[in-house]
Parts: sequence; C-alpha cells; structure tokens
Amino acid sequence: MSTFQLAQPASENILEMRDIRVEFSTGRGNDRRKIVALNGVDLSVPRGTIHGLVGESGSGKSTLARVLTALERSFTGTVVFNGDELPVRRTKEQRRHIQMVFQDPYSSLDPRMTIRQSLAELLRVHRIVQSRDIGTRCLELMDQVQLPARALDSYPISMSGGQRQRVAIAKALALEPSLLVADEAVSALDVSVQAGIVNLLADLRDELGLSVLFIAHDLAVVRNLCENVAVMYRGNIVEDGDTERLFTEPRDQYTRTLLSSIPRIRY
Amino acid sequence: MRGATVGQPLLKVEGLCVDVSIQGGEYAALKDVSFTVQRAEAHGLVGESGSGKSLALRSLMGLLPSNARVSAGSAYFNGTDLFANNGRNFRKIRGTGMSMVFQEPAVALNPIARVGTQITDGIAQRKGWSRKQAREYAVHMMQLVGIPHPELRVDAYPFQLSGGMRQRVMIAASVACEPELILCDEPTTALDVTVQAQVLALFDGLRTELNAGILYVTHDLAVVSELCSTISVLYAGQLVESGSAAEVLGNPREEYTRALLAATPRIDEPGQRLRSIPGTTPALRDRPADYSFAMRMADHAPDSLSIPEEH
Ligand SMILES: Nc1ncnc2c1ncn2[C@@H]1O[C@H](COP(=O)(O)OP(=O)(O)O)[C@@H](O)[C@H]1O
Ligand SMILES: Nc1ncnc2c1ncn2[C@@H]1O[C@H](COP(=O)(O)OP(=O)(O)O)[C@@H](O)[C@H]1O
Ligand SMILES: [Mg+2]
Ligand SMILES: [Mg+2]
Repeated sequence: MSTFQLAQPASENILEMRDIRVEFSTGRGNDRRKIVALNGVDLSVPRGTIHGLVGESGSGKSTLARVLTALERSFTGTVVFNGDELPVRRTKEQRRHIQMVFQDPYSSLDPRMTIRQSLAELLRVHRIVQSRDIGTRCLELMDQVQLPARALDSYPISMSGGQRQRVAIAKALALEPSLLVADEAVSALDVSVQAGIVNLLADLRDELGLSVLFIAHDLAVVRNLCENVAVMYRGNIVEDGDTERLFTEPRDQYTRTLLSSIPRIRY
Repeated sequence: MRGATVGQPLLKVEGLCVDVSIQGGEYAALKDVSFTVQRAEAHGLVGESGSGKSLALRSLMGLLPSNARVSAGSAYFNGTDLFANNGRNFRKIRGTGMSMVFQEPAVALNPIARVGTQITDGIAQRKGWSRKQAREYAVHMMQLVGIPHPELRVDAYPFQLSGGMRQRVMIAASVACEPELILCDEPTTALDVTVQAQVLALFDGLRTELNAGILYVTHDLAVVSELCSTISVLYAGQLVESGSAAEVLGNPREEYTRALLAATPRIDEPGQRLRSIPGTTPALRDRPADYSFAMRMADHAPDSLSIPEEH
C-alpha cells in the first residue's frame, strides 16, 4: 500500500480484508493433502476505484473473490465492508452490496427468460424499486451497460459473448451494489469486444462511483484500467499498490518475473 | 534431409478456399487466401474469432471437419502438393515434416497413454532409442515447456495433470519430433503469462536452432509481435493485409488492422481509452458474397438506422 492510502481514514476504503485464510483438503487416505488457498491475505480497495488482482492460475484469486461474495464461507479473518465487519452468514441486504461477474456470462443467465424477465425478477425479489417502476429501471439498466432497449426482449442464446457479458453486468447493477467483483470477466472475449467491456467498467466507476475488484491475467488491460494492483502468488499477496508504481518499480521478485513475461507490441 | 531446395518456400499457400456445408447449403469460410512461410520464419495469422484461422490450419493438416472441404487453391510444403493424391500426402508429412499444436489439449492427447510416451512416440522410433533414452528426452522436453518436476510427471496419464499441464505436454509432444513446420492454433491462450513466455521462447528456439518454420494463429497482436517477423490479417475468411510485422503493426494500411490495434490495450501506452469494434464477425450464412469489414462499420455507423450490437 502506498503511504497516501494509509493516511486516509478507514472508511475511505470500500473494502478491507484482513488476514484471510482458506484451506481445502483434497484426496483420501494416504493421498489426503491440505491446500492453503489463501495464506493470511490483506487487501484494501479505496472507494470508487478499480483494483486489479493478478497472479498465476491456482494462486487463489477466485477463492478470494468467493470469500468476498460469501460463496466461500469456510475462512478465517475479517471482511470489513463500508466500515462494518461482515458476519460469515450475511443478510440478504449485505450480500446485495457485493456483486460478481464471471468469465462465462452464459452460466449466470437463465436461457428460458428474456433479459427483461431476468432483470424484473431480480428487482422484484430484492424490492429494489416499486412494481410500477420496474419497466423504467430495466431501461435505465440497458442504458448503463450501453445496450439498446431492444435487447430487453431477447433471449441470451441470440446474443453475442460481449452482449451477454453486458447483460451479466446489468444483472449485477440491478441490485445497486457498491462493489463489483469481476473474475476474469473479459478473459474469454475478442480484443475488439473486450475493449467495450473495459470502457464500460471505467464509465461505471467514473459515473456511478462504482468500486471494482478486477481479476484478470492480461496485464495490459490491468495497467490501462486499474488505479491499484495486487499481485498474488501461492495464496499470498506479494505486492500491492499504485498501478504505475508497480509497473515501473516492482519490488517483489515474482512481480518482476511476471512483468518481464508480458508480450508487447514493439512497433 | 532438412531444407531441400534453396529458394523454395517451406510452405506456399495460394488461393485457398474452404467451403462449409450447413443444413444443405454451402458457405465460403475462406476465400482466396494466400501466404508463404519460409524456413526459420515465424508467420502470424491474426484475426477475431470467426475469421477462419482454425479452418486454415486444419486444411493444411488434412484435418478439416467432415462438413468442410478445400474447394479451390493449392498448398505446397517443401514442393509437395498437400491437396493432391487424395490426401495421402498428409499422412507422410504429418508428425515428421509438419505438426500442429492445438488450442484444446483434450482433443490431441491419448487418455490411456502415459504422457512421456506420447511425447517421444514418433522420434524414439525414428532414432532407434532405448526406453531409457526416450524417457530422458521426454523429461527434457517437459522441462523446456515449463512443467515443474518433470521426472515425477513423465509417467502420469493426462487426466492426472491440470489443464495447463496437459496443454504444455501437448506442445512438447508436437515439437519433440523436431518438425520442419509447426502449425500453432492459439496454443498459449490458456496459459499463464510466465509460461506463455517460456513457450514462445521454445518456439523461437526451434526456429533459430532447427530452422523450423512456424505458422502461428492467434488473436493476440502482442504475442504475434513477440514471435513473428511477418503477419497476415484475416477478416471473415478474407486476407485483409500481409507484410512484415513492422509494416502491419507499425504502419497498417487497412482500416481493419487499424481497428484491431486500437482495440488492443498497450502495456507501454497506459491510459489510452481503447476503441472497441462495433458488431461481430457475422456467421457464415449471414455474409453476403461481397462481404467486407467496411459493411460492418457501415451497419454500425452512428447515423445508421440499425441498432448497434456492440460498442
Ligand atoms: N473447492 C476446492 N477444493 C479444493 N481445492 C480448491 C477448491 N477451490 C480452489 N482450490 C485450490 O485452491 C487454489 C487456489 O485456487 P483459485 O482460487 O481457483 O485460484 P485462481 O483463481 O488464482 O486460479 C488452487 O490450488 C485450487 O486448486
Ligand atoms: N464444422 C463447421 N461447421 C459449421 N461452421 C463452421 C465449422 N467450422 C467452422 N465454422 C465456421 O466458420 C467460420 C470460421 O471458423 P474458424 O476457422 O473456427 O474461425 P477462427 O479460428 O478464426 O475463430 C466461423 O464462422 C465458424 O462458425
Ligand atoms: Mg480463477
Ligand atoms: Mg480458432
């Protein structure tokens, strides 16, 4: 963390995770092994910023995202959100504030429902707006994710990968979260489409003040999008701080290896 | 044996057309595509998904899906016409002369053979190696593709390894026989950047040390820039532009190439807003005979009546 962030009051951070530890056990009998997926991780996300999280596969990024979104409940350590410590069993309201977007948007979309039906159901179940305002809110959401209103009456199957990812983001935004966790949300897209989603996340930060934890393996995207970056290696955050500082003056050995491996356009 | 006639390109593809039949109709997936790969040259074939990159590679290996066929054009490997002789020429060349690294390792590995055996299958026989020699070579190759503790994994079966490991085993298996031409179909997409760098270095070593030619398919312009000295850009089955990497990436002539570059985040130029390309490559059935990138841009122009699909 840079000294600048340490000087800020705690509530300047939308999220503070402290000493998060997750262990899995795999195999049986003699093969039984303990995997330390997160080995006492600290991570703070300043409000209204996009925080990158990078590291090799298996380093624990998705596990961290799952702890954050309460999908993984066997952990030790504390999660402080908006100044309040979150309990292991969260209320519906507490869960609403942290939403997740995955690599494969298809998995989170119901193929039998139009986009309007999916969004309306969410807005109704979570009582986000009054019934008579659901239609208007659906239109606003389409606008926020830069999809045409017409898309509301489509089914997921008729949409392209990029459009589905926008719908997945609209579903997350429907719950009016303060923190969005994007786990490899742009990794499977063509660069031509990825660019639009990256710009959308930047716009949501700038216009709605949304905070984002952005998990990715493309470091060029991370350098373009994120104010800060954390680097994970084998269950530990080995370096965390201002993006430009980290890319220009990496302190950790693994970070240096990672940066020297990035392919670049040399012309 | 290696490098027959001087001056003759290792691979020369001319006017390649591939048609795909879908529900009784035939559609052009590749139209009049030409390029060459020289010995000790890495040539990049780039484009968005749907542009026809995989079909192009598969046609060169004689591994097209059953509903696709080469309808016109020629491909000469070391002077041998690959499409002649009813496909029998492929069998001769596959494995020793030319080998392919697939994007998806599951399709290329035998589930019931140990990975070490699969890596050395071809070359051990040809060189008359003992089992011990073959095993040592397999361990060496596994090390080269960045598999930690290869001596512990050389006797494993594919299912005992993670997806990333299997992908590296497959790369090792494809290059172990020291082919003259390596066809790569996005082989590093699923790998960590550090492993990707190792694999690219391995390909580059095969190119410089064994004079291997490489035809490298990817949508990643940065990867192409690292490995390839020449590039062909493909859009919707058509060759958009080709030339040296410096020309194509540094001074592109075509609007499509410029659009791809503007959408690609630059590690060296952070803070630039990316420019996405509206729409997607249309499906084969939705491409008019004279389809071009200009039509996609016209469809999505700000004042056009149709509603944009992508931003
Ligand atoms: N449900 C689980 N059971 C056992 N091991 C797991 C489970 N989930 C994750 N792991 C292990 O925890 C480690 C971290 O995984 P993950 O968080 O998915 O990493 P990343 O997202 O960085 O690729 C890996 O070794 C993985 O195999
Ligand atoms: N066996 C097939 N049947 C029908 N369509 C196919 C088949 N193989 C490829 N296609 C279509 O041909 C086009 C080119 O495909 P492909 O070569 O896989 O592109 P790329 O590898 O550039 O993504 C795509 O529109 C794809 O959907
Ligand atoms: Mg993950
Ligand atoms: Mg392909």
